[in-house]
Amino acid sequence: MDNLVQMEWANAAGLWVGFIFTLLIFSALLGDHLLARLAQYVLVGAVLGYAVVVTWQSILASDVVTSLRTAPQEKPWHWIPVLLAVVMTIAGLERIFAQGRAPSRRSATWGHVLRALGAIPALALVSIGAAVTLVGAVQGTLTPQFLSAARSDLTWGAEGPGPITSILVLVLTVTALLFFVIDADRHLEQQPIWIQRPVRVLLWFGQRALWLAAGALFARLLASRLSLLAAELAHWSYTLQSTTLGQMLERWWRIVIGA
Amino acid sequence: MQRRASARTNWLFVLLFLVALIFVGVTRLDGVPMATLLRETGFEWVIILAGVALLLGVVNVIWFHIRRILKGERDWMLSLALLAVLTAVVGTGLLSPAGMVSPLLEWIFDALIAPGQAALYAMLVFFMAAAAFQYLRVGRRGGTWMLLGFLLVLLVQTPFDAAALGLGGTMGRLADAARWFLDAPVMAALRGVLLGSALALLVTGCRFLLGKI
Amino acid sequence: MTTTLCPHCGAPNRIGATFCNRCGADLRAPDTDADRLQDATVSPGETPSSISASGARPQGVEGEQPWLDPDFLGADDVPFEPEEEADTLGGITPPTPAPRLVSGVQGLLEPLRIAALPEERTSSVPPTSGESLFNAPQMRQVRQWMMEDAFVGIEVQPATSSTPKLWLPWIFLLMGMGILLPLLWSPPPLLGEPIRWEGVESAFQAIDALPPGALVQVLWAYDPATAGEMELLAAPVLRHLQKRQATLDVVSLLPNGPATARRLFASLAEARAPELLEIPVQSTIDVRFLPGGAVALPSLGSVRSRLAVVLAAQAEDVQHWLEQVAPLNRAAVVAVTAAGADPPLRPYLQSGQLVGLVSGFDGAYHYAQFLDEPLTPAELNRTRFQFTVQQYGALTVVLIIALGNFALLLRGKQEHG
Repeated sequence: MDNLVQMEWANAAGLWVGFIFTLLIFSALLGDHLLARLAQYVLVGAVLGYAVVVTWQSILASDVVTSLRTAPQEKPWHWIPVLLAVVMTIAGLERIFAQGRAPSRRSATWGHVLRALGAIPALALVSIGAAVTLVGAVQGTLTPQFLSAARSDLTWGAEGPGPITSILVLVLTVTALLFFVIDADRHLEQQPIWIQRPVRVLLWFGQRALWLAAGALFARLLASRLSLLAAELAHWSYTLQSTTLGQMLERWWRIVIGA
Repeated sequence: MQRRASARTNWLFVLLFLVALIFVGVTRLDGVPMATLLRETGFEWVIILAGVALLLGVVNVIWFHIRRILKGERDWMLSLALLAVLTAVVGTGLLSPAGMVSPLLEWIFDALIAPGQAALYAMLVFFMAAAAFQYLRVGRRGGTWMLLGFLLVLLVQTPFDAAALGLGGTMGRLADAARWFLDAPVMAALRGVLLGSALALLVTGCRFLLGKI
Repeated sequence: MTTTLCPHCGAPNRIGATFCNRCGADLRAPDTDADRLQDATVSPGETPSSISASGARPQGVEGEQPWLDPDFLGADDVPFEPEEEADTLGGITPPTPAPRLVSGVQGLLEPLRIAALPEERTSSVPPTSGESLFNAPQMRQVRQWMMEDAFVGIEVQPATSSTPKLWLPWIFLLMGMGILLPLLWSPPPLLGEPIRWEGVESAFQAIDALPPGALVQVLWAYDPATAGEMELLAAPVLRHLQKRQATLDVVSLLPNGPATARRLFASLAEARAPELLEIPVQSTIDVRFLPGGAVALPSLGSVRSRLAVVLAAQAEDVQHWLEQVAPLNRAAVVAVTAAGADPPLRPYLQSGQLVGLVSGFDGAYHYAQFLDEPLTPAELNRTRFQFTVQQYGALTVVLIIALGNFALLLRGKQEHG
């Protein structure tokens, strides 16, 4: 089968399959219809299937599994993740296949036991993920960004626009942070007026700063999406120009526009 | 009984979370001999479990579509197409001796996956135009400010030939203003957002732990 | 046309109608005399909801409308049970099948079953012994209200006409024409140089300063979905790394990442300029996939690299690297990202966590300029396409925004004038 695909005609077939598939996906712009949905379902199926293959092979190629296959007794602690994975798999499969079914008394008992066992590796995974995220956020974002904002590159007596920019950056950082964490109606309701007024002014600045930033972000996003469309158009125009049909269409078009 | 079971699960999670915090903290320490070994071994295990979890997720999707087909629900034929393609790709990848780099799998990637994903994302610009029509309006709350920020950056990032249009000097000054705009006010506002979200994460974690201990 | 009133909801129906137009009640059944509701009591063992509004079991329950039977269970219907199956709970009886919250709503659909209600009073008696809270006409009114659309007591203004209607097909058409027509008609080029944002030059210098053979970690965080833009960026950066004879350790967190990387490396190898052929480059580049997303990243912290290059379509991937790996191996980080990921990463560039930031088609253009290499015909074609689409795409979007604001202005004038 692999030899078949390496033949020249397979490349041409792949090109046209890809082109037709692209047109079907793009046809979703015209509205939700069967062919566009079919293309989306096929894409999802292919992506999921590919993910399964890549994941399975990466698990098999991992150091843990490789060492167990070559020398199972050498590092016995490597059996722990394998055991946990097996337990999680069985418990997960039981849970998946039990959906929508009324359980019998016996299967409910087993299900309960499996779920309790399967919860351990699942919760361990979630816990590690949460811990990693939390520690990373503190070490990699909160601390360095706070220190950078606090330093603010302000030097007394410096001339030029530098100090003004530094002050502006500091003020906007603080006001944006305040706007992010303070709900004016809820938090300021009970406060005296001499607190409410200045805080509301700061929140006003923070909100405007965020709106400006959102506009800038939108502009950069637009450039990004235009790049994707441009690349797609460039790819297909370049690819189809080398085909007979593409050359015919190009000749016809030049006649139409009088070029 | 349900409450007891979920209470047990909550406490197990809190315990595992604490252990995970200590584990992650230790692996980030400099000068601790075991840190590197713990990190390499521990995260190797995590990668294996995460891979298995991903595979279970795919099985869940497969089962969902099988149930849809068996019940004859709406779009069951599309589910059948999805499963057929999935099975073909998995079969190709797992049965071929070359595995991930087998020519047939590469062909599927080049003919279906790559063009399909690229086309899907290339369509986004049309929806962005619709969003711009809807939200970048002077009368809308915040619309004027967003429009200002948007126009300044858009004008400068678009590759016009400013000299040919007779705007050489103006565009140069505008470009400097845009660079300053992105590096100062926009950066400051987004730093505020970063700090806010990191703080929120920290507070949530502490609240979870202190609420349970 | 003469009409008859539905005994359940009071809606008028034409004479001879089989089912009520509003609530679907069977109009052929003899009138159950709504006045009997006043004398209705809850008999022992019967839940309150099992009594229909007319005070008696609906007619034809066993035959034509079995779903009206409060104890009716459908073909594959199961009583709702909590997630942890109750019959494993050491003798405690499972909850009774959920009584219908909405009964007497007749029709072709099965009545809505929400959940098991806590502690139904199975032998409850209405508060006023033997009398219901409402009389028959009041009950009919209540049912009518429940079946009508909700409304508020004040007069509701019609949907505001000050917002111009969004008609997607027109916007899509305008956008499509604005981009395709210039490409098809090749207007005179008014293309200039895009702006050079901060961070491109420092990224170039960071890579240029690498000694030969230096280990560089590469996080491949994009797949074919965003390859259109990312390859504009990744190609010059990877060519530069190859020129510096760096040893690359490439890792991806996306299943499609390794295949995407292999293709780009293959095309770079094919397109290598003759003068670069003497420079030895890494013979094989093995791209690994790590499942688990950001959780898997700390495992890369043990790699002592000189530099890390993050090729990412989203800012989050660069953030994850800066949070999970950079604090461990303390290698300098260069981010090569899509244009949309640029603003959220500016704080990291300003704080020094990133030594360089190359983003968007403009960043790719300027990085290639720094490399000072002649562009191949394919690259020239791609660049021309990019610039033309950016220019006319931006103009079209500005036009669309102007149309939206203009329409808003017009509507505002019409309303006030």
